[in-house]
Amino acid sequence: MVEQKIQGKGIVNEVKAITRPGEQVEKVYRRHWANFLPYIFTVLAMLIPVFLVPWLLNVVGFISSSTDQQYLNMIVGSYILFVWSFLAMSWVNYYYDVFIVTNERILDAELKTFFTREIGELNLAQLQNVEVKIIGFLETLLRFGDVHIRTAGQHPDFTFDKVPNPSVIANELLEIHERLIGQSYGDKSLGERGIVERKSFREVLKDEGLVTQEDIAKAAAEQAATGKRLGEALVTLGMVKRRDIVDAIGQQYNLPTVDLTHYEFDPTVVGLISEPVARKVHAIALSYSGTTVTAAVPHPRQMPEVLGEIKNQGLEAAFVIADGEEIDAAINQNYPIKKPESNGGFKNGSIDPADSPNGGETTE
Amino acid sequence: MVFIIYALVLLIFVVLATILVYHMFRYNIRGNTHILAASVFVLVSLAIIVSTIISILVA
Repeated sequence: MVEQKIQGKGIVNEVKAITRPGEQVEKVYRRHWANFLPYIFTVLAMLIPVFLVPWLLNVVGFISSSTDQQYLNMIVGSYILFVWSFLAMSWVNYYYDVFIVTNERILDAELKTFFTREIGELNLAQLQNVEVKIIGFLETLLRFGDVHIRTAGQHPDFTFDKVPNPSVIANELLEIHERLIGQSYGDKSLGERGIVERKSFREVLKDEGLVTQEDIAKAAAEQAATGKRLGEALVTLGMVKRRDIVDAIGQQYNLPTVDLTHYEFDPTVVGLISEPVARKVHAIALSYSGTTVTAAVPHPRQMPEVLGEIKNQGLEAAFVIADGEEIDAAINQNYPIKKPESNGGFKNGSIDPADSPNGGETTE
Repeated sequence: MVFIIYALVLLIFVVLATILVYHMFRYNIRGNTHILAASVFVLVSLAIIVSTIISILVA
């Protein structure tokens, strides 16, 4: 998270100042109103002396003349005025702490003091996983909690704390993220490469007859409780097999799928993706042909980071979908990279997973 | 004398209120919430000030 202090500038100006061409504000979230309650209780407590002090002063006979009464009224009036100002300031402090989601980034704008504002920034492409935490009685009753955003690479995590309906926000974030991936696929759009989300994941599962609407509702409840992704929730509940999820994602994005359980990896090709990136985004390079490397990822959201790594080497990338656990097993088996015995160069395989034992099985 | 002291108090308050209203407008994101909030703040403040002045006068 990049912290930058901007003094005396408005959110609109702040966003504009760092907005790239085409970047638009998608959502603005702020903390749940329950977070304002402590301020209200403080103000109510501050108002008790307004009634108590004049009464006590009159009881003990401290107010003996009309001048004393005038001063007392002035002091009480001034006190009420400043308590009211405190309430207004508290409201500004609460209301102007916002989380802004643009179509490219997530910004956390926090009003520390009147002239100090901190903005945390996270690139949406770095989003890896979103966790929802609802802890506490009030949080459960009023449905608010934390949305914890895990990021790829070395970037620190990001938290939307005490936001209302955190599960809904988590889903919205993932949707915006998936849309971003759909729009940017290196220097070409996914559409140009023929990779678009043809229908939603839920629709694919229902159309394939793998789940019913009831199953999805149960999985969504599990998802909300645990913060897992829908696919993971369905597998946990035993409603679908892991392979079905892989096939559904492949069908959703019109991408080939591959079974890695018996795949023979070439260490030279595997080494095209560095171990930290491979482990972080769960990706492994399968084959190499011409200038194109084919990599297996569990979901298209992992593509940008892998693509960046491959493009840095002057190569192009193609992707296939594989089971995350199979990819992790392959990563554990193939990293650290063993040096090849003879310098035979890259395996001149096809970019299509036709090399794979299942012959490039697709879900089509 | 009491009015002179109260005038000084109001001077401090006006500075504070100006900063507050400035922030309401400056940090606006979307919608007209800031206009409503600033209006409520100013109106209630005026009501408190007027009530205080009346209470001092009638005391």
